[in-house]
Amino acid sequence: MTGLTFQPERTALEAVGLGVRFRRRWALRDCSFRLPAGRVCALVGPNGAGKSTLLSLAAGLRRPTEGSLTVFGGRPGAADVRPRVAYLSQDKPLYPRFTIADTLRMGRELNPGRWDQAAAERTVADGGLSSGARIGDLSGGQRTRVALALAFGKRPEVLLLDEPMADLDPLARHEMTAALMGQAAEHATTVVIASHVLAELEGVCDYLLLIADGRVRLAGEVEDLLAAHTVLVGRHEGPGLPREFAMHTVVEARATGRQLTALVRPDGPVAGQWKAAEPSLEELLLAHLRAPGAPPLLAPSAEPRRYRAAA
Amino acid sequence: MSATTVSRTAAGSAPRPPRTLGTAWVVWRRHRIAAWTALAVLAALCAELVWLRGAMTEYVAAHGLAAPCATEGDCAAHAAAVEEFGLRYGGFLGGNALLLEFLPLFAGMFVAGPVIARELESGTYKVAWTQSVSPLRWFAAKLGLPVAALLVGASVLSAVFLWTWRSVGHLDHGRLVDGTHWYEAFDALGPAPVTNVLFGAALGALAGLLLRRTLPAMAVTAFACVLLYWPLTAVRPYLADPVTTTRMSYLETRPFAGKDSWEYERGAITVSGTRLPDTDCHLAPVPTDCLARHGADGYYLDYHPPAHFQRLELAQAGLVAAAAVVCAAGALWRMRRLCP
Repeated sequence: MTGLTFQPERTALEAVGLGVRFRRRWALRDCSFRLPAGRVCALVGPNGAGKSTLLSLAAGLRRPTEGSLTVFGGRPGAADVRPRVAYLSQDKPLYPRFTIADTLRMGRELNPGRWDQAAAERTVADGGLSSGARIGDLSGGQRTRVALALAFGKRPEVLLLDEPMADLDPLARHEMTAALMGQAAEHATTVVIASHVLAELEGVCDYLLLIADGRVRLAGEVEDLLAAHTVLVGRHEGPGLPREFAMHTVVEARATGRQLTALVRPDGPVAGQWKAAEPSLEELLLAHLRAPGAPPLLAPSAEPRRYRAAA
Repeated sequence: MSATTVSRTAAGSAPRPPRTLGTAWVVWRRHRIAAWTALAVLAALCAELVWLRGAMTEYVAAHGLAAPCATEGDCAAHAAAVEEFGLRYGGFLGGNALLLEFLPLFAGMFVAGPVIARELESGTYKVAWTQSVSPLRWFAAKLGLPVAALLVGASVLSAVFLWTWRSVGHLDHGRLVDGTHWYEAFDALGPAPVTNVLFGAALGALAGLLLRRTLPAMAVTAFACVLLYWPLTAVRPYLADPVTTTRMSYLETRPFAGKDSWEYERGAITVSGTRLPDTDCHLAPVPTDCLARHGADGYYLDYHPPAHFQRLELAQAGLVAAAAVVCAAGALWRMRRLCP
């Protein structure tokens, strides 16, 4: 089964020149990226960056204003794409008067020929929830669990999760993450998790999509992105950046006293007395969030195929 | 023989998927309390109407009200019996008629609020739209089932009310049902409640889809239903050609039409035939002077005899159904815009 999870040639999501406008404001603008199938992708960005908009586009709940987003090569919401995508929206809306059993029955009724009752029931039972409980009487975290059960029961090929863990306690978060990873590994599901809690993504995601101000800033395998950056620490005095940085792309540089800490994308060896180290995921993300002017970086696997064919 | 056995075992051994009702089940589960309540109310109203019909026909038979009083001496007792009939049953008939007239408003509010706007407001539509069925199919079930149920319920209630009303409606030139004459209880009789409910539901769907918030959608639907009722009653007498009578004296026009006729417009008329509806000359101290001042020489009266009931009902049903189709088209357009 695990052999299936790595499918670099299959494309789960692909955006080309994607833009969404709400009245005057662009929520997403000129977004181009590719997400290979079988990845667990962290969709990261500050509040209002366009994460939820991107996920609702992929779920087929919204149409793009310009450009295109495809899921397995098809339009999101098309008759052959909709059954393969599960979506968990941020507010986890469920019918409050339905019992858990009713909610799962709804999943069965609305996904004929696809529904995995056992998987859904297992997810609910693992949380110690009885199927007769009403949704309206559950806590936020318990409702999240039922919503996830509804998503798992659909046996999706792409699972889109918008802030899934926000209202879970640490223990439940750990359990749900384990359930999610088990699900993803067992069925080679592509997972996209939108979050601004970096801690819940570390060690879970092998792919990263960073968006800010409606644009893609970083996209690619976490390992590759980390390897493409270096944290340089050293002594530097005077205004401006050291001259030896000129040939590299400096994402962010901060001076504390005489010490300069910089996150750079080195283009060849760095000259001078600098202590170099690979950044942590958190350092990488924070540096890019603090420096909106840094040029975007797309790993080769994250470049849209159609985009490259056109270029 | 063996072939059937083989195919049967093959079918039996395969894990048969449980029977599914699809979106219909979700719609039923979502509104089942409302459905059971409506069904109970419908049953109670039907039982009450059956009882009312029995009681009224029994009273009519016991007091000989089926025909106007024949001999002079009995007329006092007859009139007393008619009055007693009105006191006993007039309220029931009027109340039921009023309920049927308000049915489209309730139907519209139900469709606007609980059926459509609450889904869009609470975001539960997102769950439905991201399952395997398409949003348009979900909308079709979401609107189709409640509207079909409403139409069936309105048809049943209207038929039973008409059956009850007819048992006394035409007796003694409609004197028994003062206040619920055919033209007064028009929207409670025949196809009117059904088409009105259809219009209310279409209007509710449009309001729910446009406003996407439960309370505003319900309020606007109720308001629009009440507001649109006025032009409907205003245009109603003109939906069929009336019978017109002209007389030299105002008083002469009165008994001509008959007591059960709908006299909806009267006034003065000039020699050349020009109508002056608002002269009120019959109230003037000297009516002939008043007429002369307006250049008129007589009175006219437009009325619909009871025989026009069916053609007026059908014409109004057509008009309201056309308005319902317009609202439904608007709702469909809005729905297609909402669907991604």
